Amino acid sequence: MNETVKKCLHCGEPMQAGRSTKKYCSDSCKQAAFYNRAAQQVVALNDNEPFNDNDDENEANIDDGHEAEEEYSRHVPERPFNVSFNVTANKIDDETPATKQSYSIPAMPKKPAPAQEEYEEDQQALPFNSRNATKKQIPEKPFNANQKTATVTKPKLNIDEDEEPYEWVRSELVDEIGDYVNDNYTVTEMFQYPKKYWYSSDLEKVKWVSIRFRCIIENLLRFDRAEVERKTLITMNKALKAMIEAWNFKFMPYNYPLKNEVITLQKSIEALSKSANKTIRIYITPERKVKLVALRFQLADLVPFVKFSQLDFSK
Amino acid sequence: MVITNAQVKSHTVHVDVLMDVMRILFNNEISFTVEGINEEENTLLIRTSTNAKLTRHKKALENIKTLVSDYGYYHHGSDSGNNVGIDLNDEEE
Repeated sequence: MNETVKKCLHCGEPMQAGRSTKKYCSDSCKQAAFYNRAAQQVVALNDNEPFNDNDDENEANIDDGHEAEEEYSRHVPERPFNVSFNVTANKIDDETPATKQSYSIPAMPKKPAPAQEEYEEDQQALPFNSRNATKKQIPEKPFNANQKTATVTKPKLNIDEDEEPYEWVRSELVDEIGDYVNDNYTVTEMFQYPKKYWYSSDLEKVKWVSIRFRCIIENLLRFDRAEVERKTLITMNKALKAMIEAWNFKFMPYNYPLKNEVITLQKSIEALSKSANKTIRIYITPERKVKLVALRFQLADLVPFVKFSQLDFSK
Repeated sequence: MVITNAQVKSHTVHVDVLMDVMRILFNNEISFTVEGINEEENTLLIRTSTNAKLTRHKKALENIKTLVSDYGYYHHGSDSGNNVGIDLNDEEE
């Protein structure tokens, strides 16, 4: 047996090698070297470096030195599953703290199924290389407040604009005018078919009054939101007064529907004309406007619009 | 803002329905300009620029047309405002 002086591969101390293949001076150096190699393999794994994992056995406890050394030289033992290297690594490893921190990372299991089972059983443990908990680990929210967020996740923003329902806008004024006309349909019919309701002699009076009444309404609608001179209102008031006192108006047929409207309008204009200001800004309320426009619409079936200057209200 | 497939139309809008028309224009983000004002008839000439491919814009234009025509129907009545100043003798049948 040849005895040669060698250096221990771990501690570097000289040793007398009883055989040519001896690498370490003692069992402790042999074990330490083993743990050192295992730690380096974990570091290599975290750096995405390929590692040599050729053996499935953990050979740290083998008592047979010869066989153990041979196996150390040929095979790299399997990285122990979920083993922390903190204790031995601190003694052996001279690497930076970043590497030491890597020791605490659980090793990649060769059999992923059992590893996942273990993680799922432990509610606090995180899955491998993931900081996000699995769905099972997140407790379900008990209240319904998040239902809105769930609906918001629907890709509404991706929906084409054409698919959005269009909201039809209606005019309240126009609707109310239509309602007034429909509610007073008999008036509309009387003016559409006057010969059904009035004899020819009465029809003349009806037309005489209706033409003037429509003229006043048209001018009043034009004065809406405008500044009107007081004398214009006085003129209108006088014309209406004269019309009311005229023979045609006094002997109107009893079923003429707008007699009261004429009197009411005359009183309103009279009140306006008594203002002390030279000019007055007229503002017709929506209700009054609905009525005026509807009346004008009904009268248009019977009589045309004639200018004020062309009419005599006192005949 | 450049609108592809732009469709330009003019509308004569009475002051009484102006707010409703404005609501349509703003709700549907339709660009418009006021081209003119008629103080005698209390109307505005509004020019709109819409995207011809958008259904929403088409419906908005329809809405505006309906509003304007409905109001015009009641406002002008059966004579369509064309009988201003007719002599009294002409109305006899």
